[in-house]
Amino acid sequence: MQMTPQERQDYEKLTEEQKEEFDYQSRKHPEWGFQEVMVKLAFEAEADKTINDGGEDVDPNDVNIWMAILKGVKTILSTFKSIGKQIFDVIDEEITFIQEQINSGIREINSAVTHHCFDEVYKFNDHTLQMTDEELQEYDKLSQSEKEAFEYCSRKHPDWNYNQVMTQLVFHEQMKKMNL
Amino acid sequence: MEQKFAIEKLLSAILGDKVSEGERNQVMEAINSEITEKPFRVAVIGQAGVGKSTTLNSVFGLKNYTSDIAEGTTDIEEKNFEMRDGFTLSIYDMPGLGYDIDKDAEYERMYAKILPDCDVIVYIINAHAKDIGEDCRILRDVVLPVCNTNQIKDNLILAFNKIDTIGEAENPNDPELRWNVVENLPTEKLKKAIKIKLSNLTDKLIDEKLIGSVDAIEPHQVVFYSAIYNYNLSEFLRAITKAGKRGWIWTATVGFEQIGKWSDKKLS
Repeated sequence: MQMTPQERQDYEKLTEEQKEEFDYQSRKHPEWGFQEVMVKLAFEAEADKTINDGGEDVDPNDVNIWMAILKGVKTILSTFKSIGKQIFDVIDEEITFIQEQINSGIREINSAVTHHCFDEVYKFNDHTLQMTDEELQEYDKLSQSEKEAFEYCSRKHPDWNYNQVMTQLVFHEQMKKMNL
Repeated sequence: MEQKFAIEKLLSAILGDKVSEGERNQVMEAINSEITEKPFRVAVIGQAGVGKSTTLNSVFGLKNYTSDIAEGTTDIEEKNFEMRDGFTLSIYDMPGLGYDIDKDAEYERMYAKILPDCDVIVYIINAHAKDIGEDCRILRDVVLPVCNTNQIKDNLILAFNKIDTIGEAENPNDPELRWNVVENLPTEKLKKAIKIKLSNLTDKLIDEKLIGSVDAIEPHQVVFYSAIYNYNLSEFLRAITKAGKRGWIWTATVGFEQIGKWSDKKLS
């Protein structure tokens, strides 16, 4: 497939496994462009996650939902001329905070804000994932924020193995890149 | 000011003492008027048997709602449901277009009249359907043009219901392809069948340029779920929240309380 420099950069960010899937899909669908193949990969990852996770239950601490709610609130408030800039600054501050949570791979809000509203803030357990030497080497190559996300994910899903946790992180990165 | 909805509690916590009481009250009044002064309008479109009623019951928290819309009708009434504290859900239960191309123009007029006033438009398709070509055509040629003309494409959700029946549609005699109702999960064999089916459906949506291209809908606007088993409703809630300018209102008021009664339907 012919790729623009930007597309090539995005392609290079994929894992080896994702690259294989990308190449497979572009061979299978020669009429598709880069964007179409990436969408296909994202859908496959989402379907895998949905089915493997057993279709997760509704979570009132889901950061993606609260992010969408706050953005919606901002849009509506902007139609009221009486609402001052100070209000939007405070909401923007909270949106930035949630975005940081998303960037670090955390899917639930664990902040004072939702603590006021809900009592179901996710509690960590002290589970530590066992890794092989090879997995440990790979883990050490992660950035600090990726490691934090990895730790969070492995504690949240103590039944998951290394590959399952990594898949979740890769999926999350992909969703972020596609602005989902 | 009394805080009735989750969003009011959230905003109160966020704004705290960072703004004056007067400013905080202005925000609360603005949000409250947005929530209570006009209903939250939802249009649900789909052929008979796709699960419009179960979707409305599980996703939108209605009680024993039964769709009584005759196929072919273009005379659609708005049905209002008082949810709580002045928040009203308004439903347009709309038939699918059917397979009569001659009726396209008539339906397009109906959609053009109703859809622009809706906060969320849910187009439901049977996930186990052998061929979704006609639904793709209706979406591409009738629904999406109306949405694009009225700049409400973001309000649309393409909902693939009944993923629990994908295995039975493939082979009704294989018990391993049936939904595990005790755990409320697909069996291992059914998981594989579902993945293959969803992969094929995705290919079709990309080929039909309904996702992955300019003027197409965004991936988060496509959801796969089972209304009858409350399966994967969290994805549906995310899609509603992101829908258009007012989708968030549903989630921030009663969505969390209503949707599938928190989804889990395990029988054990």
